[in-house]
Amino acid sequence: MASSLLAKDIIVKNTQMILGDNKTPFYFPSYTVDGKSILLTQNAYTGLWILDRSSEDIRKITNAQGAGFEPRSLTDGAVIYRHDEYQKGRKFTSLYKDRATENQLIADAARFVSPANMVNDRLIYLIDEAPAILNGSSGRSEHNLEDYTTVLNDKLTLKLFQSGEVSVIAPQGEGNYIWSELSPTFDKLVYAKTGAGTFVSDLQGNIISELGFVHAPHWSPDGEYLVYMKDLDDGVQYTASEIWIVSYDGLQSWKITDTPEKIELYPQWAPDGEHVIYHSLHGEIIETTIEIVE
Amino acid sequence: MKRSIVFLVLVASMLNAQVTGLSGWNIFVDPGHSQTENMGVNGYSEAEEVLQTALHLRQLLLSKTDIDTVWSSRYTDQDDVGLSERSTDANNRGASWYHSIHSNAGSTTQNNVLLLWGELWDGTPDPPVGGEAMSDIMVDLLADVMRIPQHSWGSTGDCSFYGICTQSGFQGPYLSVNRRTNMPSELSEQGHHTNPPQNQLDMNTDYTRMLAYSMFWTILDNFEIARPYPGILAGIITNSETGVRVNGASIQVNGQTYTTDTYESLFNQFPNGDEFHNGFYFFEDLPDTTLEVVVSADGYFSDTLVVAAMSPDFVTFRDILLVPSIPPFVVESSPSAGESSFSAFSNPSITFSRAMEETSTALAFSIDPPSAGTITFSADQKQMTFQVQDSLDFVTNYTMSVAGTAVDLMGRPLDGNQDSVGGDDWSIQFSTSPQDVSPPFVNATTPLNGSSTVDQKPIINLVWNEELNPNSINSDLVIFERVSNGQVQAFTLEHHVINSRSVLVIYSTNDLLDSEAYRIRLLSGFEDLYGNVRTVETEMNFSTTNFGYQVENIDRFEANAANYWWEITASGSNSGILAPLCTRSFVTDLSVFTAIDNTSLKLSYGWDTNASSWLIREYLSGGPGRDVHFNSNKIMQAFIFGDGNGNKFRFCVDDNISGSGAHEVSPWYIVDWYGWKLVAWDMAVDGTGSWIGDGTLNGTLEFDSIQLSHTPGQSNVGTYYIDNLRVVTRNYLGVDEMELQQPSELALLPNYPNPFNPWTTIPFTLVNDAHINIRVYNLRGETVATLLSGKLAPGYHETRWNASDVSSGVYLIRLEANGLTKTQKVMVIK
Repeated sequence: MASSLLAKDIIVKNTQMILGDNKTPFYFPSYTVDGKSILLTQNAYTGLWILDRSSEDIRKITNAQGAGFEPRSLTDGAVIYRHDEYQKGRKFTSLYKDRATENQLIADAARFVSPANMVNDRLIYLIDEAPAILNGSSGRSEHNLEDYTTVLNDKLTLKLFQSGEVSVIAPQGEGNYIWSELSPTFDKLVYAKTGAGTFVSDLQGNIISELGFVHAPHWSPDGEYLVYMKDLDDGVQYTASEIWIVSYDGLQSWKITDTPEKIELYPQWAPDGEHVIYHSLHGEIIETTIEIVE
Repeated sequence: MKRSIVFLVLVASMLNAQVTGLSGWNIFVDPGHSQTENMGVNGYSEAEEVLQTALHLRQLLLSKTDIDTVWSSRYTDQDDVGLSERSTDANNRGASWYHSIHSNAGSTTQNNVLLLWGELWDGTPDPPVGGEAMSDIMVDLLADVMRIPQHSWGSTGDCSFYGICTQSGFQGPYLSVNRRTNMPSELSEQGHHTNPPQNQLDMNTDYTRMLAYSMFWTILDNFEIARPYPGILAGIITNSETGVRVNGASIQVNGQTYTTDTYESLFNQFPNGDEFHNGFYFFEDLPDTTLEVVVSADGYFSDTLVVAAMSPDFVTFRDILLVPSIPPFVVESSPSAGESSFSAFSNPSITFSRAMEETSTALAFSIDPPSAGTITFSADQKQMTFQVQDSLDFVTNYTMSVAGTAVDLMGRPLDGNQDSVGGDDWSIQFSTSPQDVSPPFVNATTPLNGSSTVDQKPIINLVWNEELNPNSINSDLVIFERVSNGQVQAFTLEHHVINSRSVLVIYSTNDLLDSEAYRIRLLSGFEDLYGNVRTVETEMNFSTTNFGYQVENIDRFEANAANYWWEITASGSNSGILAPLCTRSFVTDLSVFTAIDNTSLKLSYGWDTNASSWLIREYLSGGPGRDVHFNSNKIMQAFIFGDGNGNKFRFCVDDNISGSGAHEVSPWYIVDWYGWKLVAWDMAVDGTGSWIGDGTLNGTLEFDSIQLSHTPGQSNVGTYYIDNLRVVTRNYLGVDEMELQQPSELALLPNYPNPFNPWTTIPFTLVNDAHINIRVYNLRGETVATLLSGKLAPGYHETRWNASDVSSGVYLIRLEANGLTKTQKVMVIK
């Protein structure tokens, strides 16, 4: 596997600004499952918009608070988003499904609702540490956890769900684990432990590669590469950030952006594996086209 | 079984919690920065300080309330946690609130509290709202607990505070923790870690616990939950005479004892920790009754006070002044013991460790052989001076004494031999110097006599071997002339005294001809402080270069300079300094003569001679000077007014600023000159010195800092003035005689600035060679100053007036040239 990776190279073919109207900044772009649309949000994840790539139309899905935090899409094009509400300061999160007429509540308000992983149009997530499965198409809860393999950030560890078994993984010891993601090949994990760095491991937690202090990693659709941001800050504000791609073994890396005057953040990989999308500090949405060559 | 365990844990939790009302609520606490980032002035970093506060806040919430969960972005000072990790962690957890804890940086005298909540470009709060209300409560409570002022902005939106959010640009919120979290948030600044007393308080973990209490109470107030009785008694123990906070003081109350921090218990962890004090004590959970507080410390009288009522919901502060029990002693004297050349014209003085009772101390004083004189005391009664009536005898051995009958204001007798027992005499011997019978002379110049590469608008410094009588200094005694034809050049004369030497600074007020010989003549008449008059002329010769400079200013130290240059002690790069002696200020009493500015940067330094390395980094943190970008083909220059002490100066730049830049430095310059000197770093020729860079000036450069260091064996205290920091390229288009534009009339042009204080520049033009006088008169017609007198060539000239010795009002400037006069009014405003 490593030898085939080493024989490949990644070429940046094109970078284009998809949205750059400074009066309407957007952040945290992510592709829908079919790659035909891009989900967008604004400050502090308030509201959710969808950009149709072919028509270039932007449609507001909702003004809801928190809607832009980790929205998910289904294979039929529907979008599921969070809606945060506060009761006497307590935060409650509901899940809604985007509908043409009225958006549909599909999960009642609850506390400590983690971001969801998508497997076969199911949302798998934690509610106050307990796993939950929501069929995105039907809007019904399910309980057949044994059918899915996924990994979630728990309070001080990672939790791997596989064949109905739950195993705790904490390769760097207990701490604040974030950005965990199972590879599309179901045999590797990427995760970060805050303050310690970002790592690739197998499903038993054995380290495959240490990626260093890089952030917001995501797997390529073929599970061979990761895209991430290498951001620097002064404690109150970002001072620099560029987007990188790295082979999962950490042996090869490519700088996808090289713009000292611009701070690019939070990349996402397109389903076709040939595009990476991210936002700038000032709210521009930018897409880079890449080619993997032998 | 499982159910019963859950039930028992729940019951235990409820029994522990005094406060209800936070059940179901949670908060993500974010101690800002990581490891030892943002080092404080005394070696305790912002990152360490705010971590302590955060952990205390977490412990208070978990132990005293029914709150669900309190997370922290980091739990140790080993983690290096980025901004994106902090906000992502809080968002993933579904936290209900986010509070980021920081402290501020600035000058060594700044210290205040600031709260910043997320704000959009149009002034509205960033949703979800809540941070503003929390901030409004916290800013009051935190300032009250710290007993320092609020920042002038108090509690405010981050876009308003930073002022950079616009609809068409950065729309806000400005702070990343407000911008990328999906819950209400705010950021607190708990004083300044660049303030030495504050930084020393921050080292005490109980102090940070007290700050955490203010945040704890803020949360309760925000949710309208009554605060529980805290039973907190805290305060500062201070030496009543010196104002220094007392280390190792023991405070006893209600059967508990608190000992204030000492070098052995805490301060040994920090450089220069033997100089640190905070005097802080802290008790919590004391009963709500009348309390007796007993305070004691070695070298002080014990004290007892009664606290009749504890605050029901806040800190009960009791600061305590301890009176030293040790007897007074002599700290220093002038002359010092054994001094062999004390000037017979000087007045001996003695400085005591504390204020003395004047009558007993004056009666206890004696000098032998006896000399006529009177005794005076300084306002604080710590210094006694023997005002000699005429002079002491020359070349005479003296004994100066204060008997043990002298007492301080508390009646404690003098401890002459410093054995901590009062009642014994103090005495020293010294001898006086021979009478000075030699006239003064110039023994150094900058530039050197005979130099052939002097700038076309030179500053000439003439350094005397001793101090001149200021009344003998007159511009009429100075002739500045072109050698080839005797043509007089316009100049401005200043007199400065450095290390008991006079320095005459002569500023050419016009560009001289290129590659031309000039001469300064000092006529007879200069006099020293003992009446010895120089009766012969002194001459200094030099030639000008054939190039000028194309200048790009980095800083002329005018308006707003204080906003961008850090206080010396704010830099964590410093080493081997005596912090109280290291100051930076911006002054108008000594600056390079130019038509457009009057201010210079004054750097005073003090080096710890016991240290093994020495560095001061005076950092330019921002402003227009940081926007001046250049490459290594430039020459960096600054005028440095040297103190002749032989210590060191250099420039520091950031290189490769578009990438991963580093700090590069110039070679060191030994400051062995007195007066102004244009120090130049020709980067392409001179190379670099050694610091933390790779020694190569890569890519685009920008200015970073001025750096100073100590030369072992040289004086460890001194002062530099710095002006006109800039980068230049040489311009080989010197002033050619044929290029000088000839004016068409005699004119006294408008002075600028006007009104002014204290400097103004007075331009004028001459049609022909002329013997001129420019004088200043008051409205009564009395001459206030003579600015210029001599023969000048036709052309444009300038002179300058320092009005620091006159009061506010209107004055007349009069130009006389070949029988014609021109007059104009100017206004001094102070």
